[in-house]
Parts: sequence; structure tokens; C-alpha cells
Amino acid sequence: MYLKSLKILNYRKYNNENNLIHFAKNDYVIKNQYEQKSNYPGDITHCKSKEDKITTDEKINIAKNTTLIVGKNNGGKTTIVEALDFMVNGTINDFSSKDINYSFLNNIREKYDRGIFDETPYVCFELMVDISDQNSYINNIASFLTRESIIKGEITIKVKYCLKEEMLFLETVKQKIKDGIFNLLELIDLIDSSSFKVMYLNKEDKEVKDFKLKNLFEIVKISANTVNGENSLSKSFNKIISYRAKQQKLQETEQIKDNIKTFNVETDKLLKKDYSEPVNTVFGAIISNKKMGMNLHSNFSFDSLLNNNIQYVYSENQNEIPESQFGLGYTNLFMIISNLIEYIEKNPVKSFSSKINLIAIEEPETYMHPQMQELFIRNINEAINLLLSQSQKNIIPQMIITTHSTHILNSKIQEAGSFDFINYTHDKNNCAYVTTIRDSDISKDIDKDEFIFIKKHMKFQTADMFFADAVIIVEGDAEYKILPYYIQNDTILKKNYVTVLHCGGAHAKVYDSLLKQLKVPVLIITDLDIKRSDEEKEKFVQITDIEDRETTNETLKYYFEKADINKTSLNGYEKLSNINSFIKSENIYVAYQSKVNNYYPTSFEEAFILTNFDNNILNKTLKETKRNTYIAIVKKNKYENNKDNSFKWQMKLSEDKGKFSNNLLFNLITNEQDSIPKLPEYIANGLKFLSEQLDSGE
Amino acid sequence: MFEKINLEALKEEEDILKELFNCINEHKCFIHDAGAGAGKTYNLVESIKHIIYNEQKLMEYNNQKILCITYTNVAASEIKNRLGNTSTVLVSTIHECLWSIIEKFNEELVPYHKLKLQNEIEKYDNIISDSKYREISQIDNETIIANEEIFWEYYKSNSTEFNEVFEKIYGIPLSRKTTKCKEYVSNILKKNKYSKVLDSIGNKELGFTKVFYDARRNVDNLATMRISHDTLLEYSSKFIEDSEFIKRIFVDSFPYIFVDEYQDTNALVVKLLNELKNYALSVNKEIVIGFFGDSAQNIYDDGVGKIDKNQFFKNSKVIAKNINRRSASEIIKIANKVRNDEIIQKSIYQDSEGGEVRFYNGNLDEVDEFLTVCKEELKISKNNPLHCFMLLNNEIANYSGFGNMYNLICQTPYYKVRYDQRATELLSKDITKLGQFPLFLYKLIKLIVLSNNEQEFITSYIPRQIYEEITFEELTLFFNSSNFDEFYNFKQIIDSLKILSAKYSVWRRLLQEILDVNEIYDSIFEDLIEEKLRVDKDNIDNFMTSLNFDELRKWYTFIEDKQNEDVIYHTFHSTKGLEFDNVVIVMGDSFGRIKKNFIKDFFIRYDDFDYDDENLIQARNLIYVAITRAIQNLRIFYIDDIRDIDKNITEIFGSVEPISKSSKYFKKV
Repeated sequence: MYLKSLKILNYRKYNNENNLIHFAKNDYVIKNQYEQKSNYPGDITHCKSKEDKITTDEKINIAKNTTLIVGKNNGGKTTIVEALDFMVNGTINDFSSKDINYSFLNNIREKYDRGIFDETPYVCFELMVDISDQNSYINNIASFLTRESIIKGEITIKVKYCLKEEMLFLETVKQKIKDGIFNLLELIDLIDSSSFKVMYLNKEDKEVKDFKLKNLFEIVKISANTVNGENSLSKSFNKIISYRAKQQKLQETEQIKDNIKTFNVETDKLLKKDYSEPVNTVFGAIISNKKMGMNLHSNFSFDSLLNNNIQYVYSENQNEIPESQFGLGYTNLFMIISNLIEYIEKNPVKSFSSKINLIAIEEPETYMHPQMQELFIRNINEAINLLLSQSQKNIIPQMIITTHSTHILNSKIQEAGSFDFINYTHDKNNCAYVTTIRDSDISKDIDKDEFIFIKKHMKFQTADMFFADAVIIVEGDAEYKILPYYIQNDTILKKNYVTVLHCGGAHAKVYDSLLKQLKVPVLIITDLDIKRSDEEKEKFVQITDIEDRETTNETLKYYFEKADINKTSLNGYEKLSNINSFIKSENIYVAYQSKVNNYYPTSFEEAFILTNFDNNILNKTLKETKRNTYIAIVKKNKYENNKDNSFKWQMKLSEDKGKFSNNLLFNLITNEQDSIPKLPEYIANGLKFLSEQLDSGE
Repeated sequence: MFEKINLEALKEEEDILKELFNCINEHKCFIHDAGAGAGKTYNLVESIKHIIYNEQKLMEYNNQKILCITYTNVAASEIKNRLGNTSTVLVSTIHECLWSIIEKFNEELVPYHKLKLQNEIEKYDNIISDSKYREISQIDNETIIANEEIFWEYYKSNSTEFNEVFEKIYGIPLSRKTTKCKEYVSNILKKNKYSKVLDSIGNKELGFTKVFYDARRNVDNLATMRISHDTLLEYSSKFIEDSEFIKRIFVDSFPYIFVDEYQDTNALVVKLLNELKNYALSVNKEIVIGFFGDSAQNIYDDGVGKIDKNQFFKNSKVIAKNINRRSASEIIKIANKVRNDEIIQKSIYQDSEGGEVRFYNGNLDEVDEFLTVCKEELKISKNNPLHCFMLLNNEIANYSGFGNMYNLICQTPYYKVRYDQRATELLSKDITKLGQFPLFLYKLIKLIVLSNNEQEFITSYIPRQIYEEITFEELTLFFNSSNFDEFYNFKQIIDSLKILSAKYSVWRRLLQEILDVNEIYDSIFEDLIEEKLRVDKDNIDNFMTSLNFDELRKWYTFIEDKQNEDVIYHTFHSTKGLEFDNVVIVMGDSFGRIKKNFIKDFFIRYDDFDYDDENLIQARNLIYVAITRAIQNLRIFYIDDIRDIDKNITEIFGSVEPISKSSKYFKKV
């Protein structure tokens, strides 16, 4: 059994939509091969050698089986883990009005004001549990089973926190309305003075009695701030060792226990002589010591030995470092691993548990440097594989990681080779929204190679889009360098976290589905890329009319097709006739060049030159970049010539694009007294779109 | 229609509510009499709300609850629904409630059980001392007891075979006395069985120190200390009468006790509540007992009907309500006439006119055509169904699609002679009233139907003790094997069940549960039919083949009240507490075979109403309950000659229309 999904209704930041979180399955290691081999008598060598224990196909890929919850701060990441923890480990006394979503409460208040009393405040969690694993016991979940659930292999459990006395609540509300003193604050007061109860409901909302979520779920929450204690690691290691000792009855443990017994007997003797007798003498003076007496016993045990008397020392480069001096980053990592070990150790050998085990790791990036974050998933993966290879166990808990580290996100994507089970949270009008990213959704409009491209292209910088307020994708080097300068000067954009991603060669379109799932405003800046004949190229012919012209830009063709404009042939959408100055597709705004000073520029550089033909900074930059061409075109301050030679500039600059943009950026930053060149209109409009979106979202 | 409230009537209604609240505030017991459709349940719920609003905190602190006793589980869930979440109210049937408290003291019931056993033994003693057994009583009792097993083995065999064996054993000639001998010996054996139980109780043997109530059984099993509904009521009322501390537990736990539909409740319950009230009075504790109901709606033989205030609840206040919230004024008018007592209802609505009541006369052959006309005239569809009440059980069965099945079971030797029990034991929608074989059929068909419904939760058809131990794999096996779609008669089902129970332990355990036995053997179903229906051994196969599976399913839907048709058929009794837009009542002079001229007599003597005549009151109540189900359209079709009664019928219903008038379909008349 494992937790498949969770729907959060009216809990804290979550209201009644976009509130479904999906979880990855925990996997089992199949150890058949190894076990079969060891059946041969005398073949002991095989079992003993560690290297042989796991062959590659037996390894678990933790990255694939880990659920990630990512998103900006205040987006509702922690709420998800808290919801799970509250359901399983919390008590009803912890529940209060602050756990109920405020927009929901406000809706209820409005309803009451209008005389509709069909609802009382509640919070509900809907858990979908996969039960397709035939070996699990059903006694815990029998009340939720239908024939359909057996066929589909899943059940729904609803956990509802609702008023204990609904009618009393409503009657009190009615009285308050009658007295004219009802408002949101009164409602909240009333909620806090009312008792709540938890109810478990089946799919049809019928109450299931005699059920406790605690019997079905176990959840361990590991967060960075639990690592504070000096010997927190020792404690968790001790637990592991006692589990092992109790279960496996190792020879060594038995020896230690024997030693303890002997020690206790010896100590008792000493105690009797030096301590018990004097005490009893005093005692006897008051009460006859024939009837009563005192004996001192040594009470040393295996547990007390572990808990208080064994020191954990890390060895690093042959130096022994005490726990308290060990780096917090490593301690954190070890804490996580030791919790995993604890889980594996404490469950009976080879059991198919009737429980679902969750380990929620909150923001493991705390105290870790970027490289360590990048390796986080891989380290955990290695540790688990090693652990499983050393024990008879073959089951691991379901892991959930909340993070705002692009490194950890990226490492999950790279290790798993997949985007599956990344739950992306964000905040809109003070309500949390969550979307589960799926490979199948991202790749639905693109071919296999392009999907592979996304995964490979996704690195630290690209993963950043999961944490941004807005995303700009540019296809050229110049835009990539210059845009941040303009964003910094925009009053709205600079307040938000706008990430600029560079995706050369008109590949922005492959991100389309992913970006649509992220739902933040996106600006794709691409080029018109008008198809020209070789002759036109040689003569630097400028384009004044795009009627019957075609584009070579793949991104443009893709969005033309989406918007179903300019279909030329059965499969083509390259025609440029009748196009708008931009294309909008859901949250994505695609910007490309439009007519500037009579000409259609085909690239950013050409548009920039046409827009700012007489600007000092531009002319200075052009001169610095291509001195000879500049003199040939502009001659003596005849800036107008820039206009009529824009395509020539474009062609001439094409070998020196990097140099041009570097020079331009340098001049922009150093010549602030000069008038700043304007962004070409298509980009300026695009940025306007972004700032409008961000402004309205506030 | 039904849009404008009459403010005067509303004021009257509010005043009645205030009266109820006053009783509650002053801790006075009351009887709230309200006719059909008066919003009695509304008043009950409002009374509970009133208590909760004022007393909830204190009651929670004292761990006290309001007890609300309903007659059926359906009524209980309706009230629970209206109340929403609350832990201050316990809504339950009297049996559930009694058992929930008495269960903890069930060893205290043993003395009453002993008494009952002794009575039973006395009965057997009376039978066997009858002079007709004089010759047979020469047989030595010890010999009889010693040869019990052989006796039951040969019990069903023919007389020649039986006599051959037992003349040797008993040592007396048996020719022509076989039947008498069988009767005598089986009574001796039964008596012996109970005596043994008494011994076991006396010796406090394991399993004989407590009495258990089994809500799923409709008959007692005295020998295994298990009792059913009626006996629970009998024991508890005696227990409460005898014991101070159990009275105290009730009074301390439930300072407010409300009884819904009090007229249907057993007289023992009223007596028992009266005991509680007197006890509370004697120890100066406060208790409010409120009865909500209508004596004119008592249609069950075991219902108390009226509360005799000379005997019980002497000082209680009677609060009557004469407002109607359900029906059109045309229907209310007729209902008032049928009742013919001090309750004269008026509608709460100003615009309550617009209903229709029509009385037709014809004969049984015309029912079909009559219904066709009604369907057309009243624009009947599945969304606007016609509810047809019938007095004739076999007609209800016929029209509901299980006529053959009904007749087949009625023709079995057991039911052939028990025609007065057929309606209740075969057609009751209250499962607790079904007969033993029908109950088995019901449980079995329920398992088959529900386990094939993919949305149904297994807990509704697999008993707890089974699903708690079952594995996922077993459950999957059960589902894969539970497929009866291709079967068309009962024999095929039974044959298949035999194979399934031999193969799968889940099936075995489920059948054990349904049949209430510890072991499933090959001929168990045949034995059951022989025992419960007295069907002859040679006819059992034929009986099972003749029981049509599809009809059994239709019967099950009828019992469950889940028919999805445009015309839905009901017995008069099963419509209690319900309301429908369109009602057609088909009735005639008699009610079944036993109550000849039951209805006719009521119409004949409508004027000079004799209130002491049980039958007249029963007939009046039955007609009153039936006609007051209608909200808007009510049509009555009388299938017998009305020449003797047409004066009174016209007096009540206004006019009688010959069937031919009702439409073009009846040209031939």
C-alpha cells in the first residue's frame, strides 16, 4: 500500500481548487536472484561478498520514487507536510480557527448573512491509497472497500474535521445575526469556542466508525531545526542499534549482555558491603530491621549502555571529530539517513506492512552548500541501496521532500530522468495552488528527442523557473545579456523575482507545456527570422512587406499552429501574412519583431538598431564593435544611414554578436548620463504584459 | 400552490411549539398529538434544538443525552440527518437503545430467561399430558432421550420405515400411531432440551451465564441463550421494573426522552417509560418524557395506539396540532371526514387548493386499464411516479413483478395454512418482521446483488467478523467467483453455492453467517426448505427450479424500497410516514381472507361510529394512513359492489364515478 494522492480542502492556505498533491510509489527491491544462488549448499562466499549482493537491475532509483514539493516561499509547501502530520499525529485539541481557510470562512459568513445555513465550517483531507499490492492486509481499510476499489486498486479515505455540535453552532449564529453583532471576527470567535471532532468518511461521505488513520499511516517529519541538539544523531543511531540487537540476537550483543550481567552481580556485592549495610543500620534504629531492609542493586542495562555511555565519533581523514563539532550539513544528511535506517530496521523482516510509511524531509538544503545539495539525492540513493544490501529487508518508506533549492530539484530531475511527482506550489490571491508536473503532460506536444532535450537542458539555471514569479525565455545571446539591465529599471519587475532563461536556436517551444503548468506569466522573446533568398542576403535587401513571406523560426511556427493562423500547406504554418504583433497562449506571451521605421527587422540586433538608430550609446557601441563597417555606413554622423542599412548591420554583426552585446551592456552601465536606448517595441510590450500580470496578481 | 403561508395558521403553529418548549422548560411530560402531515417530526426536531441551545454545555459536562426513540431505522436516519452532527442526542430504535445499556448487565437477564424456559417446559408438559397420548406415554422417557439421534434421523421417513425401527426400540406397537408418536417424542425431546439448559444455567456453565440479543435474528434461540426483538423487550421491561439501579442509569443518562410515532410503540415501552418517570419522581430527579404521534395512525397489532392516561402519565399535558403542512386542502377535507374525531386539520398555506380526490367504482379486472388512464391523466413518469397502494398481497406481488415467486412460497405447506402471516413475513419492508425462510432469501439475494455492485462498500454485505480476518487475495477470489448473471432459477444458485462453499472459505463463512449455522453440509439448503416451509422432500428440487432468480431480485428491490419504475406498488402498511404527489388506492370490501368485509363494515357503520370496535378502528386507521400519504392527487378505486355503502362513501368522498366515465378506454362498460 502507498499514498497515491492527497486533496486538501479548506485547510490553511488551501481552498477548494488546485489542491491535489500526487505522491510517488515506494518500491521494493527484488532480491530473487541473490536468494536463489545462496540456496546452493556451500556457496557461502557468495553471500559474504558485498559487491556481489546487488546487481545493477536490483538497485532502487530513489530519485524516481521520491515526491518533491517545490515552490516559492509562502506557496503552501510546508502546509502539505503539516496536513499529513496533523492527520496522523495531531490531536483535535490542536485544531483551531486558524487552520480553516479564510476565504472559505468568508464565504460561509456571507451565506449566513443571506440566511442560508446549509454548511458549517470544516476542513477535509481526501487520501487516495493504492491497494493493488495483493499482499497487504485489508483489516485496516475494509470499511473503504468496494468491488470497484479492488478492480482499480485504490480507495479513498476522507478525514473531516467538523463541528461536534452543528445545530448549537447554527442556532448561536442565528442569535448573533438577530442581535446584529455577526461578522467574520464573531464567526472566528465562535469557532474557537466550539468543539471540533474528526470523522472518517468513505467515498460516498458515509461515516466509518472504528477507524483510526494512525493504524494505517506512520509519518516521520525531519526538518532542519530538529538537528539542533548536540547528540541528536547519537540518539537516532542508538535506536537503530537497539532494534538490531533485539531482533537479530547477534553473538556480540549477547556477549555484551553477559558482560553487563556479570558487572551487575559484581557491583551488587560491592554495594552490599559498602553501602547497603550502613543504610540498614540507620534504618534499623528506627524500625526493626528484621521486618524491613534496604538493598542496593546495580541496574545497568543494554539500553542504558547505548543511551548514555557510548560515544559517536566521526572519523574524517583519520581524525576523530566529536559529534558536536561536526558540520551541520553532514549532521543533517546523516539524520535523514539514520531515520531511513531506523525505519528499515524497525519493520519486521520481509513484512508487507499493513501500514503506509511516510518520511517527510523538510528543506534538506539548510546548512548544505550547493554542491552537496546537487548530490543530495544521489547520496541518499547510495545510502539506501547499501542499507538494503546489508539487511534482509526489501521495503523502503515513501519519501517526500519539500525544497526551494534549485539544486535539489535539478538533481531529482537528472537522477530520475523524469519530471514526474514534482508538486509545484504557488500562491494566488492568498490561496495556495498546487500542480503536479507529469512527463506525459510536458511531452504531449513534442517529440521524444525534444523531451530528452528538456531533461538534459534542465540545469541549475533552468530549474529556477519553478521558483520564479515570472519567466522570460530568450533565444539570443544579446537579449540574455541586455534584458536584466532593463528589468532592473522597471519599477514593478524589479520587485519580483523574474528569471531570464537562455534557450538558443528557437527551442523555447519545447518548454511550452511545462511553462503552462507552472502558470506564472511567461514572456518568450523570439525572432521573426524571415526567409530570404541568397541574392537578397548578398545585397542586404531590407524587408518592407511581409505579405507572402515565410519564417524559418520553429518557435514561431509552433505558436502559429497553436493559434491556428497562417496555415499554408497541410502541415505548414510558416506564412507571415496576417500576423498580429504578438501571440498569446494561456500564460505565455510570444514576442517577435514588428515593423520599425518602415522595415521588418529579423533579429533583436536589427530591431535594436532600427529603434535607436540615432542614439549615442548605440552608435558608440556599433563603432567600437565594427569600426570599419560603422564608418562605411554612418560616415559623418549620418545616423539615418543606420536605418537603411539595418540588415547589412545584422549580417555584419553576425560574427561578432557576443562582442556587440558585451560592448552594449558596458556602455549602458557606464554612460548613465546619456539617453538610454529604447528596447524595441515588441520587447517593451512583452515586458509591459509581464508587469501587468504581476501587478494584478498582487 | 403551497407558496403563501397563512399567517394565522403560522402563529398557531408557533404557539404549539411554545407550549412544547414550556413543557420542556418546566420538566413536564407531554403527549403531542398531531395528525398526518402536521409536521410532527419538525416539532420533534425543534424541541431537540431547543434543549441543545439551552442545555448542551451542562449536559455535556454531566455526560447526559437526549434520547429519541424511533420505530424504524429509516425514521432514525431521517431525524439524524435533520439534526446534523451532534453528540448530545441518541437517536435509535427502542431495541438498540435498550440493548446498548442492558448489554453491560446481561447476566441480570438470566433469571427472566429461566422463567421463560420454565414456562415453555410447562407448555410441553401440558401437551404431553393430553389424553390422546395415553398409550404412547407408556414409553420410558429415558429410552426416548437415549435414542434422540436415531429419532431425528428417521423423523422425516415414512411410517412403515419409522415403525419398523421404533417398535423395537420403544417396545410398543406403533401402527396407526406414527404421527402421534412423532409429536409426543419430539415434545419430550424439546422439553428435555430446555431442562438441560436450565441445568446448565444452574451450574453456571460457560455460555450459560449471560443472555444475548441478536439484532439480525427474528426468532429466539432459547437453548443457546440468544433472544430476538420481542423477547428483549419482554425481559428488559421486567428487569427495569424490578431493578432500581437500571432505572437510575436510564434516568441519569437521559433527562429527556422523546418517542416518535408513539402509537406504534409496544405497550411495554409505555409501561417501562412510566416506571422511569415514577422512579425519577420518587428520587426528586427531573425527567421529561414526550410522546409524538397520532393514535389514528396506529395500524400495527402490537402498537399501543392511545396512551391510557388513567393508567400511565396521568399528569402529562396533551398538546394537539391541527395544522397540515403536507396536502392540498381537498385531501385534508376528506382525511378529516375519515378520522371523524376531535382533530380537524387545516392547511398552513393560503393557496392550498388545487388538489384532486376522486372515487371510482369498478372491478378487479379493470385495475390495469384504470392505472393506464391514471398514468396518462396525471402525466406519470419515472420522475413523477404513481404510487399505488393495494390491499391484495398477491396483486402487489404480481404488479411488482414477482407474482410467481410469491404464490409459490404461499403454496408451500407452511404458508398455505398461515395466510394471516403472509403479508408481514413475505412483504414487510421492515426486515425484522420477515419470516425465517424469506429472511434467508433476503440475506442471500442481498449478498448476490450488492457484491455485484461495484460502488457498494463491502461492509454493507460482508459481516464484520468476516472482513476483519479476510485477506486481499481472498476478497479478490470472492469477487471473481461471485457471478450469478447467467442463472435464472434458485436451484442453479444453490448448486453454484454448494460448489463455491466447498472451494472457498469466504463463501463458506458467508453462508454460515446467512444461515446462522456452524457448518455447511451438502444438503443444508434442501433441509432448510423442508424445515422452514415444510416442503416435501420429493418436491424440493421442483420448488427450487420454479423459483425464478429475476423475480427474487425484483422481490429484493421491493423489500428494499428501491424500485425505479413509473408505478410503484405498496402495501397499505409499508407507506407509513411517507408522502407522495400521486396516490392511487385500490381497495375492496375485505382485507385478505381473515378480515372479511373489513373495509365494507367501516363504510357501513361510518355514521354510528362505535369506538370500542377494534376492527372498525383498525379499518379507519388504515384508510386514514393511506389517503393522507397524498400531497396533490388521490384516486381511490373500489373493486367491489358499493350499493350497500354508497351513501356513506358519497358523504365522505363527495361522489362516486363509474369507471366508464374516467376515460375513453372504458367504452365497453
